[in-house]
Amino acid sequence: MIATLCAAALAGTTRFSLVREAGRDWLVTPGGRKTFSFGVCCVGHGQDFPDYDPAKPGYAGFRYYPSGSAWAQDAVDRLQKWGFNTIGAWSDTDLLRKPAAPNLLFTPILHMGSAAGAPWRDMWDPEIVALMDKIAKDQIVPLQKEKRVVGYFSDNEMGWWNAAMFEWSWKGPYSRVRLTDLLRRRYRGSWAALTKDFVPSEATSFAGLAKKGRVFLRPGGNGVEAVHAWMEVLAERYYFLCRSIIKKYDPGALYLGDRYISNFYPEVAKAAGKYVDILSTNLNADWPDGSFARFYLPNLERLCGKPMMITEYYECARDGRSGNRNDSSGFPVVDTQAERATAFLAQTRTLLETPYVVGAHWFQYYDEPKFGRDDGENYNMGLVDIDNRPYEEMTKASASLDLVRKHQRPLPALGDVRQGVPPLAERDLKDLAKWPRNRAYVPPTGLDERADLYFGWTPSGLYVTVYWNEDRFPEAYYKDGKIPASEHARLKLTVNGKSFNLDLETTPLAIHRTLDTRCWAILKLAPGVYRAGQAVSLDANLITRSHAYRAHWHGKYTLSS
Amino acid sequence: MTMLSMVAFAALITGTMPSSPPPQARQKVSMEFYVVQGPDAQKRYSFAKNGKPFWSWGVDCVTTGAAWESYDTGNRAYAAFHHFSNCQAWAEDTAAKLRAWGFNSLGGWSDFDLFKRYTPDSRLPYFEVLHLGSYDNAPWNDMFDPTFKEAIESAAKSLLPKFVDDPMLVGYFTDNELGWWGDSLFKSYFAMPSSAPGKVRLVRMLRSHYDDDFGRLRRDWETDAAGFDELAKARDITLRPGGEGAQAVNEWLRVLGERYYSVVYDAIRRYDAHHLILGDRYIQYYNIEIAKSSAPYIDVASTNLGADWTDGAISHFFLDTLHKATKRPVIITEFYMCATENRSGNKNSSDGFPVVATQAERAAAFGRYVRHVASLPYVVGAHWFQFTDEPEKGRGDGEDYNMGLVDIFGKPYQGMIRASQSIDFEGIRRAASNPGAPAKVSVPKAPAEPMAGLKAWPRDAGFLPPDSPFPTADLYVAADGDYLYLGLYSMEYMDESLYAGGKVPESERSRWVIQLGDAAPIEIRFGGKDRPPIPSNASVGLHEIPGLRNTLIARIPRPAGTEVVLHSRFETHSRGEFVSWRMPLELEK
Repeated sequence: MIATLCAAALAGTTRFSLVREAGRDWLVTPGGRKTFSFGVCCVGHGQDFPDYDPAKPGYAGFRYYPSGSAWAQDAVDRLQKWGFNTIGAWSDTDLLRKPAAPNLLFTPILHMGSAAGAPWRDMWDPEIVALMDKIAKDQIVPLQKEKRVVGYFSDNEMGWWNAAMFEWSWKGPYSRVRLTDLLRRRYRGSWAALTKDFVPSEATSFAGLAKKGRVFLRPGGNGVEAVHAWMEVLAERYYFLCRSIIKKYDPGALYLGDRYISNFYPEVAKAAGKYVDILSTNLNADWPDGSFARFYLPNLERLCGKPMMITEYYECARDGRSGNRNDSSGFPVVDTQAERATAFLAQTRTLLETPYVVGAHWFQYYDEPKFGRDDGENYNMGLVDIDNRPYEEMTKASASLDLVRKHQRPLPALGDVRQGVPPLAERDLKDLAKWPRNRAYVPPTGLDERADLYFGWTPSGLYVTVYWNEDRFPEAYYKDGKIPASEHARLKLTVNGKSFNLDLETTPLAIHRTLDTRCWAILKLAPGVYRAGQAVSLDANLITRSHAYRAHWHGKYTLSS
Repeated sequence: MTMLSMVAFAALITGTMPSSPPPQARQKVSMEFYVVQGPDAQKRYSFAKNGKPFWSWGVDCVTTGAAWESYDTGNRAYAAFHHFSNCQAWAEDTAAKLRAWGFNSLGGWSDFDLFKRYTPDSRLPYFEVLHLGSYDNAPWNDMFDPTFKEAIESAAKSLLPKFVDDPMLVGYFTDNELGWWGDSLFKSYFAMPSSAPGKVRLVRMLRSHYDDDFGRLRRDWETDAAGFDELAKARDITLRPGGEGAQAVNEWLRVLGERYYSVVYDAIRRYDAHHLILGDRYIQYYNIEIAKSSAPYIDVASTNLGADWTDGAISHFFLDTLHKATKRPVIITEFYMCATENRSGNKNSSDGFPVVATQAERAAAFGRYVRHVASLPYVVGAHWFQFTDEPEKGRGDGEDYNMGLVDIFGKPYQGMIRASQSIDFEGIRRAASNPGAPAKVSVPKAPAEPMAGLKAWPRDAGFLPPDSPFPTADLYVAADGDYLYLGLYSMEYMDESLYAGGKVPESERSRWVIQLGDAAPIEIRFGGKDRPPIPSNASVGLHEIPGLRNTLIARIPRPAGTEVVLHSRFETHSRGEFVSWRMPLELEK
């Protein structure tokens, strides 16, 4: 026992750790040096010779190097020359470990949950747990002696979709019993109380529900709060399992979380905070210039209370040399490599200056194939093109960053409407990307919002944009598979004493509306005659779909020129 | 395909089937390879598909070579990615080359997936090595434990769906070069605990072999056990010199063979009712009992078989006996010929494969080998090992041979290519052969140094046909002015570990008896690795080259007269197998 304890203590001093100094979080190397993990995802050799299809060209190491080790040596040399210090997820770790590079960090991903079906399948089922254990063990054991491994991501972009998770929870025998028990306690054993918030199906009592059937949200009810309580239970289970399994096979490794899909659920993030060493999230910029919604990082950090790592971020340009179409989904796209490098640099600087961020991993090493990946994704995401030629604008930008010095700099103040409500150009009204979003930003009254509010004006009207996140598959909450109008996202507004109660999904006041997991509605309110210097009072309450989350803004602001 | 339907298809080919078989059966015929025997006098076997006979002339390991990821620039090897911009180009080029070089099939461990994907029109049928036994370490793990059958079935379940509907697959090799070594198999099963199903089966076999009479067992075996029940608990046993325990070992091998072949047969047939089952590719050696036990469960027997002599010749007994013991046609699944002169820097440095000096000699020996096996009526194919030379400094296991049709740079050895192109398979298969055993043999002239080895001997003229049904040896004769020379070329695995002390005692070593006319018989006791052979008559000179293939040459003072009848008998160690000869010899004056 003593020997074990000593070994564990010793292992701790030879591995990475975290420290908070002067309000900033740092990753500390085994040698005791403070560092910032600046990494690249998918540092891989690309397509293999047997699969390479010249009609669908993509990155393929065998075309540029005589052997895998020659490729690895060059990749390591290049990345370090370009200022990176970390090999991110989905990289060819086995090959990249070979070149001598003592200061290189590795952060492998295990997929230990998703490959076993978690968190969708029953995480109390011993077979699922055993599978998670085996998946992690098979990958960690061969790396146990590799002290350059910072730690492990348990998964990537897991579907923490609340409504769908709630549905799946009825499919596992162990999760069903636990969920039923949670509802019974929450409603103090009263089936009648439960049915005020939920519509039962194939169950008429808690005892019956423990065996068969399920419940759906009742429109107008408040069942979503019970669902959130259940999400926290699920998330606690997941993070507990992942942490204990990873530490079982490598006690010195940090647990790096599960890389959120540029979207988070407060209950899940709160639970994660109890188990992860570093909370990770992928971060798809909300706008092409590489900027993010203002609520995202600060609120996520407040919820989890842990240092954070940005595990994917992106910027693409239309003039990439690989022939990518850059149109299959919502990644930020600009015209030229020069603009791309500027936006990349802006994103990286922001992340470096964010005090609680300890790492940023660029996605990815090479461009996607000319005609797209198998899933259709087709973007100029590479530091190199599919012919292995570097994008020099990008590599110059990455090489220009002095990571440690930059991470010590304070985040510059971005400004908000308290310094004056900005005027809007008529031609840009419907395009939030072109709004002066920092000046138009309205600070919320609370801390946990998953929404931003922007406020601007023209001489003929006031404009409010609400930008918020929604669940995916929310229809799964309802028995008939449709979201009733009563459960739509709503915004209750009072502007200069005039009140609105708007259904954000249908209101004709919206001059633009996007409804997805990222939603925004640009509203034209209170037509009239406005001029600089006028004071406007604003009170806004957002209630997201199914009454899931709320946000509140309140203040009196002056229109500025 | 079951044996019954094979017979039906043979009848179909020879024209004795009703003129219109049921449509479903006809469709089956078009899908699958099967085995036919021709209508010719020798009843030549071949594969067939769609009514067309097919003699498989194939190449093993037609692959893209070294993987890029693990390519070692310090040990260069064939690597398709060095020579082709993509795999389709490689597959097209390679398929076209194989066709142009006269080959018509892909042997074991070829990248048939890539050919199917990139050159679907190349029509190169292929063979799959399933390695089923390796899923439970057969034959070493307890094959009578139900988990063995389960492991094999689950392997078949996961492996076979990919193949079951593939009309380009000829059939399955169940394994490659399994370790059918008598002593180790007997001892390892004997050492199992008394409750192990394999031990229970072995003790049951011994009870029945000795008619439940432990006294009889004690005459053949040395053991402290007092009876069969104690024997079940014992962990070791040794052969008693002078006894006939080797027959019990033979019976045990039949039991093990029956188990292995029936389990793999059932597993394959459960998931694939049709494709041919092609044996387990013997390691240039087979145990006769194992070969016999395979007969009901295979469609074709398979063996790897290098030339016995570097001129490309092979012994008579090896393939003849394999065919007779299995009653099945035979496919040669690997054969080899290497040259010191090669472009890959191969040193050919271990032993076990034939090596000649030049590419010209290599090509000549290669051609001779193929012509010979193609002429044998029961041989249905030969697969050259392999497509490329081994890496310049050897494979992971150290093997570093010039085995390729192409070198590690992808450049063909033109002599080999021309040799393959010049083989007239159809002509060879049409030609009459097999003249039958001669009534007597005219003794040919011995080479300059007859005792050095059999390679320089006139082995065709001096071959003496055996009297035994399953010979495991060839006997050759030659003479000069003073001596008659007899060369015995035998196959035998020494079950050393069955004896106390781990050595076959002298009294049990292989024995060869020669009697010329009425002269006193000469008895020769084999030596082996570290001992010389011992003749009963000091006038007899001996030279032994020991190994799995044993050469023993006897020099006997030339008998008087021009005709003498030779009686000869060869007994393997412990009297396990017997071969005998009786042949009048004609001696020139």
